[in-house]
Amino acid sequence: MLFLAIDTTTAVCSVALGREGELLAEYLLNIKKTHSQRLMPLIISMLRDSDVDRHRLEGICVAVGPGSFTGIRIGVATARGLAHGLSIPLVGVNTLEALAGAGACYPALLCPLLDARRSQVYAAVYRGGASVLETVEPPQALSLDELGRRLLLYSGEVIVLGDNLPAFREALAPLLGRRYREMPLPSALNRASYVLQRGFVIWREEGPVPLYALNPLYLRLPEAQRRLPEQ
Amino acid sequence: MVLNGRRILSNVISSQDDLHRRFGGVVPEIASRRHLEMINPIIDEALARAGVALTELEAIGVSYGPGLVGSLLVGVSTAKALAYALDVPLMAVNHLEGHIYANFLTGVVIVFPLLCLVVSGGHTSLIYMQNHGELTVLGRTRDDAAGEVFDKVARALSLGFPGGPAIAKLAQGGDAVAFSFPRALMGEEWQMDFSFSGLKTAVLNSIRREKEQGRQVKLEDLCASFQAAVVDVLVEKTALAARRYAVRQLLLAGGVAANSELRRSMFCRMEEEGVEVIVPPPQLCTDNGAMIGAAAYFALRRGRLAEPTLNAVANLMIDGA
Ligand SMILES: [Zn+2]
Repeated sequence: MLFLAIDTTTAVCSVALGREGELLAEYLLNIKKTHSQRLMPLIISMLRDSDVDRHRLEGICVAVGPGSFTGIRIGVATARGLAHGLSIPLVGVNTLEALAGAGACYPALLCPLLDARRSQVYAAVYRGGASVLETVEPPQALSLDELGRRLLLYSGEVIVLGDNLPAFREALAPLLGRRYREMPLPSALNRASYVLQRGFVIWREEGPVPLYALNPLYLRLPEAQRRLPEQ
Repeated sequence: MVLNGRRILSNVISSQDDLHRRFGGVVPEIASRRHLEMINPIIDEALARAGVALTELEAIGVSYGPGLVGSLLVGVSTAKALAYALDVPLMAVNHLEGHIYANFLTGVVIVFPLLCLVVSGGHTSLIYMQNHGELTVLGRTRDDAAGEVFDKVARALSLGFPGGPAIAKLAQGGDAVAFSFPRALMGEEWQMDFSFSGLKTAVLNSIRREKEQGRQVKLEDLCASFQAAVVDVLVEKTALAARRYAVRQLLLAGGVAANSELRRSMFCRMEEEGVEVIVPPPQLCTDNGAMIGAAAYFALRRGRLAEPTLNAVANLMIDGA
């Protein structure tokens, strides 16, 4: 099964190509430019450089969020457009779960976190070390204080992952003390190879998502709706 | 689905008006989310209604601006991916230009050079068109678009969203000279720009004054007077341009072109000028995919293909400025 994977949910714009247990190519840009301009050219050149005709693709994995609303939509719309045009199946992958895959071999708490603005982060907590990641705290938007309180409820080392760890270090490191660990940078970035890897697992366990049903995981209502009085 | 830029095979519209009504206007984030949900189903529905298979498509057109960037990105991302997957050319269409091309779907013979008046919730532009791809903006609004003022006045009168149809309906039974509202830049012959914010303020002030003095606002009269002020300016500026550029045809376009008073008044005035007025049917005046398809066809004939780097441009200008 030859799959294409896409992740545009954070500042990183990344695409990967591979089969289960085999990564053929991964292109990644972390240049803080709009994903809209870079994503299709990245896909086109990666396939060209890999000598893979678009019609040989058998499925598409895409990171569906949480993350930047606009970034999520660019990735999901592109994945849906490709899957639609090529008539191939789609798999949606949660951005945080994909990132946690980077530390899956460690018998520790894995805490991928992304800036969610308005003094919140998008975070989840998984337990690694076994053959499958165990979900301890599902993906949610919460304050760093609240995240810290949650992490104190569990024992063991905590490995944090994400593209902006220095911004969260001050709040989490003192709280967790010697339990606090940071995943080193290249592995701490959201990247399409993690989405690919996680995508194959979902594919095996749950099968594809119907084209129309592959929707983003925003985790937040639009601002205007949040301000609306309860009805 | 449009055949050869002239024949509509299907034209599917998923309107979001209901979704935004309670906010009194379009909420960008809500619009973007809904567009993403709807875009693939709507493509399939358009194919089904046209009896065309996805693999039979020969080209794809997409509107890349001006507009709300989040919404544009959904269309642009989908269209780029679909065009690549199907290995067909992609054309990037200016949304405003798309409105003009709704007229090419009417079956009327179109003769260049001509004049276009695009009036919608986002735009009020007077455009001189020498040929396909050769457009010059003669005048545009300096502040609010005509349709935007309709929406704002409607909101002040609690008439709901979008405001155009509600105001037009009330205006039918009203006295258009009951209130005297300003007609901005009217006397200035050299000036082809529009300005509607002064009119908006005047109307809102009138509503407040009536309320303060405990009088019931006579809705019909207010709407008729307001609408007449908008229509007068649009018609007079267009007549001026028609004479100066010696055109034989005027293409009306955009959501406000569905306004029957604008149509009636424009037809009368242009007849005096010897200019033929072409207006798309109402369903082609509001935003729709067919008009983008028509514009894309003529762009394809000129070899204007979009690159995979195509991005959404929120404030895209019509003459590339
Ligand atoms: Zn429009």
